[in-house]
Amino acid sequence: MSTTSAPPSTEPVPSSPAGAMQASCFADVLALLTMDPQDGALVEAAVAIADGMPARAILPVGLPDRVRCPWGVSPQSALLADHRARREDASAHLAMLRRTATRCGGIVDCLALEHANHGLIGSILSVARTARLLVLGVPADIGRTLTPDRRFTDALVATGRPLLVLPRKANLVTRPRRVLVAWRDGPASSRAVHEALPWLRSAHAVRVVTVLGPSLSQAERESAAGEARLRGHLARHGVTATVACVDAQNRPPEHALMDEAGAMGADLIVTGAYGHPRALEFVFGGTTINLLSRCRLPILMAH
Amino acid sequence: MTESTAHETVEASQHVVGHAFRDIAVALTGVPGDSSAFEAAVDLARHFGSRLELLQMLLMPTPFVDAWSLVPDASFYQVYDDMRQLARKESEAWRGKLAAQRVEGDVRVLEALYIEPSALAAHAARTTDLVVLSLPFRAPIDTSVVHAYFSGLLAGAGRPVLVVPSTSTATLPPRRAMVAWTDAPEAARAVNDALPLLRGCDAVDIVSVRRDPAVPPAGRRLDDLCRHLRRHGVDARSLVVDPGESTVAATLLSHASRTRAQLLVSGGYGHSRLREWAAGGVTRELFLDAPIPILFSH
Repeated sequence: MSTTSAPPSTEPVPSSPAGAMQASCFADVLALLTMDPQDGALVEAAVAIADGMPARAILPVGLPDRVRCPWGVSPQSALLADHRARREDASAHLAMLRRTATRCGGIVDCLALEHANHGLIGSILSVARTARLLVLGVPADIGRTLTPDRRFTDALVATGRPLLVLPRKANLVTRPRRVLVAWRDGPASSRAVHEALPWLRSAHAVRVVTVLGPSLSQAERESAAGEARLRGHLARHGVTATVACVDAQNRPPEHALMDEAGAMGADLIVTGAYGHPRALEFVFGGTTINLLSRCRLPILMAH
Repeated sequence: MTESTAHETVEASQHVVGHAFRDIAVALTGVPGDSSAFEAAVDLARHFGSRLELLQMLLMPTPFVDAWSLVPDASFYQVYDDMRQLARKESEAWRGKLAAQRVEGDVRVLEALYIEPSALAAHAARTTDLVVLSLPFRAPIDTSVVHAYFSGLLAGAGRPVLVVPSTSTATLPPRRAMVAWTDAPEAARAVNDALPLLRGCDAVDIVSVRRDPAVPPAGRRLDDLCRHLRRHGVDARSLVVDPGESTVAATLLSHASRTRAQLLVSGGYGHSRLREWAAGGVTRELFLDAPIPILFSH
């Protein structure tokens, strides 16, 4: 299926696996790179999360099966030249990222994932599914286009893995200490909270917030029934959290969330992502995308 | 397996406590066979030191309003009272069993009036780590009731669902487990959700069934997955099996019985539930036929 021609890598064995395991429960972190200046920040974040364990980073390289060629050049050689140029760009980019990884003292296995253009996304997803946590950046045009980059949205909804999303200008240099959890009664919220548990446990402050929209009656029911249980459940996982409901006051919910995050000085937001893979363009707008385009904090998401 | 990875496995398995199931929900669906879910959950709770939450489902009949009255028939309140009384008696019995087993926990009666009972169960299960459900003895009507709960919980709770057979005794936590791997988000979730259980196993097989002989097996991806599991303290090996003439589910189950696996881990309902229920499929076949516990994630 995949025509990967990545160089064989020698798996570095962590010097003290037990110590590393204890500190970090995200032992297999995978950064999804995009040939973007932001990639350096992603590699740094992967190092911070992996906390001594080796992390992986893949750079998808899409190879077209035909290219425009000038007169007098055979299509075959034009195609080969195009592929060679793409490979060289990718390997230069990866070499730079390896230097970044070494500079921040982490072990990151940076590989190119070469694939024919059609089916590239599928091969990215199948690599992503073997990781514990994915790290990726927000595409530049998010929130401004109706059809967000499919690499990004598919990674969000079709890998089954939690994602640490780094918006532009956001960076993550250490493990988060103050965490805001945006809770909305649904399967995605529950997944996000459970995936974030290793971080919640080591955080100094955890605040769980349900933003009340116009459908107040349902929210009231949720808060009455769910708050105490959620708090108790987190407490049994060793997480002391404050749980609260916040009125959005006729503003979009992401504003209320960002205000909360600012008020507590949060350095991470945990939230479920709601949306459907096949109707992404239509359903996937709303809070999730707006949060991604405006927020300057890293966001841990699960679908 | 190399020496260094073996070392890693042993070291890592000492940190089981950090990532265990703290809260386990048991969905009591009111069919014969509920006690096997209870027993399985008690075994897990003893191992992980978890708290049990027994969810006792109570499906209330919708009040009947005829053309002449806007107020429901008064006899309905009598019916409700009777049902509540019966439920109270049952929950007392479950509380007694919990006390007898010396396991921390409580019983919650979920009254489903005007609401899909599985949605109520899913809501309650979201603040737990795992849901345990048992398959009834082969009575078709009970099976369809339990299947409705199963699919509702799987899709709505966002938590893994452990289905326990009631015809055979389950060994929990398992010593040998098997993962049914496909390149799908559900399978990726299932493997990670099952980590606390897989960590305690002596042997874990990652089995990928090769459905189409024309497609080369994804060996590299399976290696990546094994490495990921080893880093989390699971000693896993991967293999690709050829189904031959039999179905995917039958191939998986025959491999499980050959290797004497005590737990199967699988993604559930990658396709739409309706389509799978109508046309058959792996999830449904596994759900109905497995003689061992299966952990499903959606």
